[in-house]
Amino acid sequence: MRWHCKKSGFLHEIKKNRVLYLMAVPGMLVTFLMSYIPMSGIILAFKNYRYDMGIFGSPWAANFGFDNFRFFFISGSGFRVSVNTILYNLLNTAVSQVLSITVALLLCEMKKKWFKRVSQSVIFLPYFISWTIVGAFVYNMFDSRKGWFNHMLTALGGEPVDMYLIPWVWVIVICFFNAWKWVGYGSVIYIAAIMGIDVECYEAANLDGASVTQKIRYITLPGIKNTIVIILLLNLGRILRGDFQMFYQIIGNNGQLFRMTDVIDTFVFRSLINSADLSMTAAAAFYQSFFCFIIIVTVNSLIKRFEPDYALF
Amino acid sequence: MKASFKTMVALFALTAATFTLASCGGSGQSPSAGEASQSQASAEAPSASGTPADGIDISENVTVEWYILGAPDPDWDAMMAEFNKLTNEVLNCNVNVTWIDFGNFLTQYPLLLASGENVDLCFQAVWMNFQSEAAKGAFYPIEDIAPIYAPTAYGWLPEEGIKNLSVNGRLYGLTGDNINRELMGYIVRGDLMKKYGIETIDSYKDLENFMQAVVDNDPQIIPLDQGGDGGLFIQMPQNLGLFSVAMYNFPLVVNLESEKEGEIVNLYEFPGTLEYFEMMRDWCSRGFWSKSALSDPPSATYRILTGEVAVEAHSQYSWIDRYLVAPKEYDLQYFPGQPHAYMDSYAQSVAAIGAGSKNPERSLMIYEKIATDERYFNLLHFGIEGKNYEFTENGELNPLDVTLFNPEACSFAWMTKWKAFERDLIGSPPSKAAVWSYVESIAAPNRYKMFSFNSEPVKNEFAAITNTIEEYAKPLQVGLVADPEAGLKTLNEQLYVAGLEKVWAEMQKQIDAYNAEYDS
Repeated sequence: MRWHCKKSGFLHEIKKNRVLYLMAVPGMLVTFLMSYIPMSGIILAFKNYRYDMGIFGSPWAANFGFDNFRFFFISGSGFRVSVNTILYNLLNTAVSQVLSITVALLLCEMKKKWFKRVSQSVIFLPYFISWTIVGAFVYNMFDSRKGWFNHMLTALGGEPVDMYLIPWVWVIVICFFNAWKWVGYGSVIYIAAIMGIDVECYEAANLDGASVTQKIRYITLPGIKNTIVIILLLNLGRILRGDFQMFYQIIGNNGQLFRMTDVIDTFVFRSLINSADLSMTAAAAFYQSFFCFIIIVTVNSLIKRFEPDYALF
Repeated sequence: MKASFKTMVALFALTAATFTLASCGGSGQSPSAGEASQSQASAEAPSASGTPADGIDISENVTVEWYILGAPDPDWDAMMAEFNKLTNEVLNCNVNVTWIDFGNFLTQYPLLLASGENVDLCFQAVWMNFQSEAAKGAFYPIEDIAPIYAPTAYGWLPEEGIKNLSVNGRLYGLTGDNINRELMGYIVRGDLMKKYGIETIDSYKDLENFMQAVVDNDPQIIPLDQGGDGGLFIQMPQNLGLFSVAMYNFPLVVNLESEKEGEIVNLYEFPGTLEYFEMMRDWCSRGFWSKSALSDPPSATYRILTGEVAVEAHSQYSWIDRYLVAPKEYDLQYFPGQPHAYMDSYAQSVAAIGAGSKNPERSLMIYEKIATDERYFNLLHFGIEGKNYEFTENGELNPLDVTLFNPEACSFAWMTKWKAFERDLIGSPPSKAAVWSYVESIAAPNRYKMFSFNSEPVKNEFAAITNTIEEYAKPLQVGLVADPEAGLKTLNEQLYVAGLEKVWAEMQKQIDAYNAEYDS
């Protein structure tokens, strides 16, 4: 929705829609309190934080305040984990979104109500399982001595495999569990979008003798295209953030696998766990936020240029 | 102690903390330098007006907040009620204890201290970054008030101890007079040794034979508990004549046998290290521990207690701890794995007062009571007499049910160990006396036990090296790297890339300064 008001119309605009604005006030206040005021803490990334001097009283870090960022780059690992994080996010977003859309389409086509409800609940269930538990599942599957995967292999006459020594396997494992956990949640959004499509379109299509696949292709997918773009954009906004819980619980501190499974969040955790330096942690968080910001602004302006209707802002 | 690193939510907690802190920083919750010196001035006031013995003002009833490590036993609250009766009567105050569990101390303690929370007393230790936290202003300096409010607890400290507990010339903690001599070794299932006819474990060769026997005879048991927390590697540097002054697997160590006093060397380039890693590779491929050892989830209890493993590599104190709660038929034995027993640092377990403390004096007075009055000591360490423990005729301690109150597992014992009140445990292993006297016989001085490396000047390189160790050294430690020689080469290359030389120079500088002061 866009409002075209004259410059002098600002007060008029507020007055005209005062009830609407009043309703928005609590949300704006919360955002301001919880998101904007704490942003001043970013300054911590450029300070040598001392507890007794407070955030603003602590001395500035060396190298014009950028000293806290150095650990990230000196070993060359910063680049590697950034690339890993981006690739994982792209892969996970692609896989889980495609699956979410498929699930939403299937659920909407189901005719039996009870079956639809049961399936939806079952698919949604993993969302409530914590990564700690998932980590335990994974361990019990792939543990070299007692894991059921190796039991199964040997029972079928194969040789046991030490999954914890083969990095590429874990890309698949992580992608699978990420999708498994998020598909139910993601599909709800698409189901809502599909429900919002005008029923008359389908009725008209039925009269014209359209098949189910034709209806999906020419009515449903174009109808939810907007939602898809928004979800993708929101995911892009988090592209430098690794899901720490997921990576840490599934991989743990297994150095053998880091080459292909290390993301920014796990790297920072591991580097700083022995020094517990809040300034350096803040520096890492700032690095992520800064680049996420740049990426989302860039992508959004590109979209605005080519498909203005789909831009977020 | 189980200084395990089974950390769960740390990064999130830490990043969240930066924001939490950001929001309260403005409102001045963290005590500023000015406030700290003000409250210190008011703390000194009573000492000027009254004599230490009776002139102390305790008219206001307060609750002091203590933070300690671990998890409470079921009878803890009942005991605390008794304890508070005592403190209320004599000192007009209550003690409220908050436990921080072992899995989370590396993340929760810094947050607690950084928040400026009212911490009247907390457990601290050199392995919890006591010195660097102190340097960041986390604690309340007590050199002025400790002699007044805790004369005994302060008075026994030798000059070396005071130095050890001080940072930048200010005293930040106290500790009990019973300092450990921790000696790493092997805690072994005695019943299995008997079964295989193995008498003793004196060397890697003996250990190897025992573990091979386990693999051959009891394949359902994992021979060695070799998780990611250290396992056998903790004792390795000392067996090469080296001594770690940072994390147990940090590359830079002091070469004790060098002609030059305090020479820092790189553990991973030292002769003998490659042979060790090759042995680990051999042991791992023979199934002495799980190939997923690095991903083993932290277990709720020690794996030797559940019969999952046959050997745990740890100290004689851990042995007593395990022995008391392990099934009796396991008959756990202990064999030393290191040539020398060094006295622990005075900062191995410290009672420190938080910078945000509201009642430092009262807190010290209670601490003093524990050191001087057996009633306080017995309650905290052994529980309620008649319910949790009784003394035998010759004064041994008989814990009535260790599942309700375990005297050995209690973390209070760490910062309040007083020789005068310590008791021998009745269900202790028969060989305890022999082990203890053996430890005495190989006791040796080691000045570097008191040295603590301040990583602050090279914190970026330190962090990068920490990461390199996790990625390249740990797989070598547990023998997961197929070619240890190539693996070791990569590790060293990566260490140099991460800035090893810079940290090396800094550590050598600090060690030289330490030695100059020590020898003067």
